[in-house]
Amino acid sequence: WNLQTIYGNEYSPSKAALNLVKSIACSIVNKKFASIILKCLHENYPMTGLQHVKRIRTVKSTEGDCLQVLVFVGTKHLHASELHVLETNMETKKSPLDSIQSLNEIKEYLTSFVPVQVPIVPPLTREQFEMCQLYWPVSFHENKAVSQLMNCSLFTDADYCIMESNMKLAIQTAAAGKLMHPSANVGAVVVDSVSNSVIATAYDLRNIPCEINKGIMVAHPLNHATMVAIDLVAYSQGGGSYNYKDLLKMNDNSNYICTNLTLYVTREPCIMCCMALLHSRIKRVFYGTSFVGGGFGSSYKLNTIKELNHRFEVFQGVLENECSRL
Amino acid sequence: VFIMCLDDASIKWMEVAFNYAEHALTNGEVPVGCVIVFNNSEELAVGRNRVNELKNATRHAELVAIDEALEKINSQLWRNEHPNITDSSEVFKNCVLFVTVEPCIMCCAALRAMKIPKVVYGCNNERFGGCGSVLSIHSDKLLDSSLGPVLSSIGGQQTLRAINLLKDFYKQDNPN
Ligand SMILES: [Zn+2]
Ligand SMILES: [Zn+2]
Repeated sequence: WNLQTIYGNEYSPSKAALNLVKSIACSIVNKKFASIILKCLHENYPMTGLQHVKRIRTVKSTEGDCLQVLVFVGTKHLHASELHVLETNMETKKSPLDSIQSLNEIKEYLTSFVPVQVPIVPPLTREQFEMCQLYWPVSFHENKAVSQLMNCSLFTDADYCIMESNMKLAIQTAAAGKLMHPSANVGAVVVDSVSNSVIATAYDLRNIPCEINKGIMVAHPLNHATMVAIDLVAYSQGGGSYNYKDLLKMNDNSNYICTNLTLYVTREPCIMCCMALLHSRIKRVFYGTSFVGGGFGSSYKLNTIKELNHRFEVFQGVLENECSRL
Repeated sequence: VFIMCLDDASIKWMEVAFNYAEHALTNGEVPVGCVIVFNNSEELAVGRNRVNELKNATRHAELVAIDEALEKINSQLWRNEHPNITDSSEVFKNCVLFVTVEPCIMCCAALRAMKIPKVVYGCNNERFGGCGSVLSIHSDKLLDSSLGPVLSSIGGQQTLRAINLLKDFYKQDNPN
């Protein structure tokens, strides 16, 4: 099986994440003018907030290499209407700088204007960096922690063994649920992230009655395996909503809510369960197989939303085949 | 912002919800209260936050009320009073939830999963709201198969009152 990180869209190797912006570059007639051109551009059109974007690039051609300089970055330096005027000027072969007084002293050194697309968001991953280079050169400072998370290389062989054994327990739990009711085919296991001790195991109770109040047994439509697991964690701390009697067991745990806990669940949780995990401040989630409408990658990525007050690591694919057969 | 005016009955239900929000505040919980109303006339269940009490971060007013509703529907007394209803899912399809604060993403999903068709709420929930403030879980048609039918929502009822309750809570020195 293959582990995959459920990461935010800002890390994805897609054009949208690069945030390409229409811009204008031009060639420098002679390399000896490069420094005066850069000085003038820097004074009039500084690259504040775009430190990762290189101002100058070398374009190779059969007539020899030439230097190309970035004059404007659209949205940063120009209004949409201004950019439009410059583009029209370029099409009609007029110099697009005719109307721009501030560049008078360097106008004669600039030629061959071309529209380019500039990535205005610094690349967060090597893949994004390589994509950026196809448009305009940028610099890249690799964040080791991000890279390790993205390619799952933060885990050792021993970690993979732990993942497998915890997910096997989740699969066994789902199998136990299926004996109670065929629809109870999801299993969840909560472990302490550090000691790896099991805090709770739960299966889906949507169609299996439990005691929701004294003497009242109800098959609760919202008792998805993850919700039950969260309540069992609460129970282990002296709280909890329902009495599961002999259905499920839980162990002692001294954590406040789910901080420092890791969830293993055979199937991607639904939106409700994902948000319940977020409210519970879960540390990490590993799931086996994807689920249409799931909240960790399939429909939303609730673990990555900046507006929400807790973000956490979610990985998909642990024993995926075994989980999907449940 | 267009705020729909409620009829007298709905205003009364909002009042019930606010009473439970105040109840939550006096019990050291985030002051959110709600009531589930069946057939536009019957108070089926009420709820308020019980997160601290139950040490379970999912015990929001809405989920607490859903528990109470399920408990009631499954009681002999209620069954005797409603002999024509055989399936509890039929009940929720004819319910409206009145709640003092916009339901969070989790609760919106739960309301859809319960097939409750409509929610009326007080102030927006800028931190976690699922009826448009952070995400629009209530109306996302792509979630029909995984959650259930879309949820219609009416916000902006007695907004200031709901906000002031929350402010009162966060003024207190609360560890959460
Ligand atoms: Zn769920
Ligand atoms: Zn909620």
